[in-house]
Amino acid sequence: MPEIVLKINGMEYELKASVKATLADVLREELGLTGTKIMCNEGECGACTVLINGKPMLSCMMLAIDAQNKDILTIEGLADPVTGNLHPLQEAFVELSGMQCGVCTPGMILTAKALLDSNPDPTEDDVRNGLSGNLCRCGNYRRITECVLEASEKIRVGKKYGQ
Amino acid sequence: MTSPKYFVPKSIKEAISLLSEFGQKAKVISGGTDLLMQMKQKELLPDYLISLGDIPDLDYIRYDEIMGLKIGVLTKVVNIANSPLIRSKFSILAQAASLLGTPTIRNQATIGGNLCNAAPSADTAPPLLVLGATAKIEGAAGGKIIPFQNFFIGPGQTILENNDLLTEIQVSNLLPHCGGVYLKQTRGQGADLALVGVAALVVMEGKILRDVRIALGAVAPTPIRAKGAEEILKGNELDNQLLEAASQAAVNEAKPIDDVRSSAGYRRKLVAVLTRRAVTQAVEQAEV
Amino acid sequence: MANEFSVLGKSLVRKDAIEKAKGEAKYIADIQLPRMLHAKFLRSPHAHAEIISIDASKAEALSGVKCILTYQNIPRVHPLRKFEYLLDETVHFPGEEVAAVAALTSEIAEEALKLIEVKYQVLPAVFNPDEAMKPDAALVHQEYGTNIYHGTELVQIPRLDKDHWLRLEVGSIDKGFAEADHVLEATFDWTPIQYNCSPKSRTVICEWTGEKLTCLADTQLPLFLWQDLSNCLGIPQSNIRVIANYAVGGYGGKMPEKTAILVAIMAKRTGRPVKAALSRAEDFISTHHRISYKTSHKIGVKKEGTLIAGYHKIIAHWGGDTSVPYICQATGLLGCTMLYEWQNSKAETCGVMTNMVGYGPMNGFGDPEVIYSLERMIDMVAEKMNMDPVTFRLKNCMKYGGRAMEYEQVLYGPIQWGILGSDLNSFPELIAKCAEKAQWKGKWKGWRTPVASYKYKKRGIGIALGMHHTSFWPSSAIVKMNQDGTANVLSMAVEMGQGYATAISQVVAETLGIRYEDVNPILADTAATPTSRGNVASSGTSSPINSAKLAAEHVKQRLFELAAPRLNSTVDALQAREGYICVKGTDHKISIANICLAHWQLTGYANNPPVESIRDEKTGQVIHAYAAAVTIAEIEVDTETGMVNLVKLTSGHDCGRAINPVVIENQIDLGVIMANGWVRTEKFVIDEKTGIVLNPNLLDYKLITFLDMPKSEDFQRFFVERPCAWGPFGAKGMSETAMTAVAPAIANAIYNAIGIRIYDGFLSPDNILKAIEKAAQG
Repeated sequence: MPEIVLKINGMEYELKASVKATLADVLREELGLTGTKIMCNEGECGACTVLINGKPMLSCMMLAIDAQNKDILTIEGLADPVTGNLHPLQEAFVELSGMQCGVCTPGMILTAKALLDSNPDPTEDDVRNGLSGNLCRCGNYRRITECVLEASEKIRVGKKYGQ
Repeated sequence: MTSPKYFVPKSIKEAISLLSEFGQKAKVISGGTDLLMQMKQKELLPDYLISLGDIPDLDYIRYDEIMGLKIGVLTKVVNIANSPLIRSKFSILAQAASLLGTPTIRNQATIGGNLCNAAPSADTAPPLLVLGATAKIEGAAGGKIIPFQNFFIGPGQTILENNDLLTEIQVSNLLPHCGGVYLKQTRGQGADLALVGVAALVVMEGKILRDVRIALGAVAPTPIRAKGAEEILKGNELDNQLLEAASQAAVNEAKPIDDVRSSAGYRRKLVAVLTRRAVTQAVEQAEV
Repeated sequence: MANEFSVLGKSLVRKDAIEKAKGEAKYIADIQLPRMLHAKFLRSPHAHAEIISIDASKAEALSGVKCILTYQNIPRVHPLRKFEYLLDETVHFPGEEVAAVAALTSEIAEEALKLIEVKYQVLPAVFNPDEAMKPDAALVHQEYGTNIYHGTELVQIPRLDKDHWLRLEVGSIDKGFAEADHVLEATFDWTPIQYNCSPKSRTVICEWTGEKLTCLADTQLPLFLWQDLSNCLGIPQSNIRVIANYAVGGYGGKMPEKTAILVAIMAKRTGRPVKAALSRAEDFISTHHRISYKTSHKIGVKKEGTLIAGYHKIIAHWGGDTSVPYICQATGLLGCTMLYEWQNSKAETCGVMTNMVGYGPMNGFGDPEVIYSLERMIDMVAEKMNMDPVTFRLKNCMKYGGRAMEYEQVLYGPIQWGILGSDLNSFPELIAKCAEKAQWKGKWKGWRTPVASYKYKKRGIGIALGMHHTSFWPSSAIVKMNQDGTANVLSMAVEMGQGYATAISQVVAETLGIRYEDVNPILADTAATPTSRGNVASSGTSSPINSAKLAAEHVKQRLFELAAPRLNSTVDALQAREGYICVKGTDHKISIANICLAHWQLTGYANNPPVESIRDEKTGQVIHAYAAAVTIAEIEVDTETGMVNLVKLTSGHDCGRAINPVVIENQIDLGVIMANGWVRTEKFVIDEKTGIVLNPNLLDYKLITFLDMPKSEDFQRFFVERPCAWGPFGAKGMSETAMTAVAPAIANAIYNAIGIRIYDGFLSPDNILKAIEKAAQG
């Protein structure tokens, strides 16, 4: 088994992984980072989304060995590690009940984070299109849209006041 | 229970040499979205995986006034969709790229992967056919450039030999007064494979359709040009009767099948409707 | 109304919100135990076959394989009400379990499956329920003699007639039709089979410690699984601990499956924990799906628009087996009988088996499947009477005082009609409000007159009503005070996303007069939490939460008794608010924490009163628990492709009393999206010859996405509050009701747009296009 090095949430992990192991498998089974969820395991639902160099990608459709030399952000890395403060997106999902069963939530939040990082003032259409690849079986689409728009405003206001 | 051996060549030459050595036992991997899907659904494990990710200078969008557009095979679909250059000069290709998969898939998928996977429904194929695009291929025996017309030879099959690599997609400059539209019918409003995909490119001379190219996806073993439909329209002014006749001709040239996604009968109806709409919209675009 | 409460009626942060937003919430699939083995199942490739031989010797010899189960080496027991044995010598649907393997890794287990040699004698199979009803059809269960279900030695349904039909009659429909001025009838084709598609495919972990079993189960019915494990394993329930608080996204569908029992056996034999995680494809083909109905309605109406007679026939497609025989259909019969105030009605149903995976409960549980056709039928009647469909429904819909009954009575008797409570005065209010919010008056231009037309696009608007029981059942709860004045509420029901943990905490906090933050629910642990049925039949709010409120009142009484002397007052003069007990109208108070620290015996417990005790104040009649819904859908049809786009949706619901408004809205959204998927995008594609599911994946089984739903401003949902007589503070469940009106509203809107009635279940563009073409041909 090849030895690989993955840079996840700012930390380096050295481990042995089978060539055919997906990034999702390695995160969940080898590294105990079970925040990344698997819903379909074939690239159709977006639940397994992580950020690779800031861009959303499907961890179940990516070989772990191909994820080396990249900055990987999982949901576990989103809150501030020192203060424990939630990212504004996480705050919005918490305050506005952006989840029901919660399985799509990590993928939604990370995809939304990338969206807001590149488009800080999205319209509702931008949000719907940007998240269109993330499925929510609990049907929380309208609520999730609300959370992302709320978070975008929080971030803009925070930036304005130097937070 | 074996695991593939994994190679990361640093050059095209090295990649070709590996492919020559391993032949059919090797699979190339770029974005991985199609390959992993196949590995999971068919439980297929190639013996060797050749990752192209480290080969320099395969990820680019270049343009000049004389040579036209050149896209490196590892260019991500999202970059094609968002490229201001492609959106303004070859908008049909950007349009198709923006309809491929989901936004997240587009971050990972490469245009090379979409083309070499050669699904009859591949979204980038019909636009490249109507754009008259060519494929630059490098292999053990040297390089060649072939029109995409000849690139696809069957469902999931391209003209590439085991040790060939598609390296570049080339599109010549278009004539003025050109309009191109790609329409894709899906099962819902969200991301989906095309049940039917139709690309239409027209070059107008006043009200005359000087040139018409129509390509159909997902309704034949490969993406195809609907030449019969094109001939009906070429050199004429667009009117409903001609449009209707051309749409019917396109239906006759299509060979859709019944499959888990749709029926041949419904696909035929969609070919007619989408051909009509794509041509109409392409003409409108050209006239702007 | 919300002002009189401190925490009730507020959209407080969910109890599980932070862990879910941080990715810290653990689902069973996330759990790894030391020395854990992985289980995989060998599945039949045939729909109907006898197993002639199974040879697992090569598989057993594979390094890393620890245990293999076949029908030959396990007890011959029937899981919960099912026809079949745990592993049977005969398989009855493609994908049925034939063997189970536990190994060191999933990979080894899968390799082992390939080494198990099974010889099958293929038997004739039938997949089409219409075919299965014919006298010469292949038999799904050979010894049974017929494909029409009529009970087994373990399952008796007393009210089934001799011809195996279940019937419910009120008044005389012959008389009713005779008196009617108009009689209309129609048959509606099979409703779509819908895959439960929980976000997590079924997963279970079993571990033994000596003779005691712990089962981490992805189920919403820990009570039933607990019983099932006990029956099948032959061990007492006191030695079995089912923990279901990692269950997720059941949607009514996470009933006990045999997987848990097989895993428990393998865990015992290997002495190691065993985990079985079904792949998505396995979950598709081997777990039960939504029941499917083919319905006929015959309706008699008087010229002034009063419904005088309603006859409803439901043929239900069962698949091969079910753990809920006739329960969905009993619900459906009541749905037909109760939704409108027919003077005379008759509803009858039979269940047809085929060699497909069996059906089970799924959101709505027998009501949406018949309300879908009933509401299309009602539109036909309203059109015949040339009445506006809103007006027609207002005139005839169920109301306070209307006849009501529990579905169990339909199955077991006695037929003793009670009534709907005054909370159902909500229905006319819902209809009127929904029409106003959807701008019905401005948009409805008359029958067969689209809202708008442009080129090949036609826009239509449609309305439908829905209803469903919200079951008031036996339930127990404990509320225990901790020494710092915080509380834990113990309940067997499950938080699987619907907001149960939040709602129960709000009710207990409100009752006790402590902060919501200071209540922590302990749920779904059969060893620790008092018994209740679990979350089905939208009963969570009504039943277990009601028992929690009673338990909170019980311990509050004790707190008051202890506080009274310290406040120099009497129990009657006290109230509790925000963590303090005070004398009403004064500042004189003592903290609850103070009392709790000083006194230890502060445990409240309660059982729900029986249903028969819930009586209408005016008439003294027994009230049965139901909720109502109204949906108005506006759609646009592309008449050249048949595609239907949902442009606007307005949906109103009654919930008795809103415990947490945002959570309720989320549940409405769930029902709305699920109903949309059911009839617009989620299509099972099944091979007619083999019964094999051809699309067991999310590429080809399309779930609703963001883009399939209207934008926020066009998607309104609201609720009205009329407290019911039985639930906590008058709250009642509404989650399944949320699904019931949506599909027919969409179908009725399509009729308005294109003037063609679609009798199909699945509203595929292909079907709609065919209907348009057929109508154009005249």
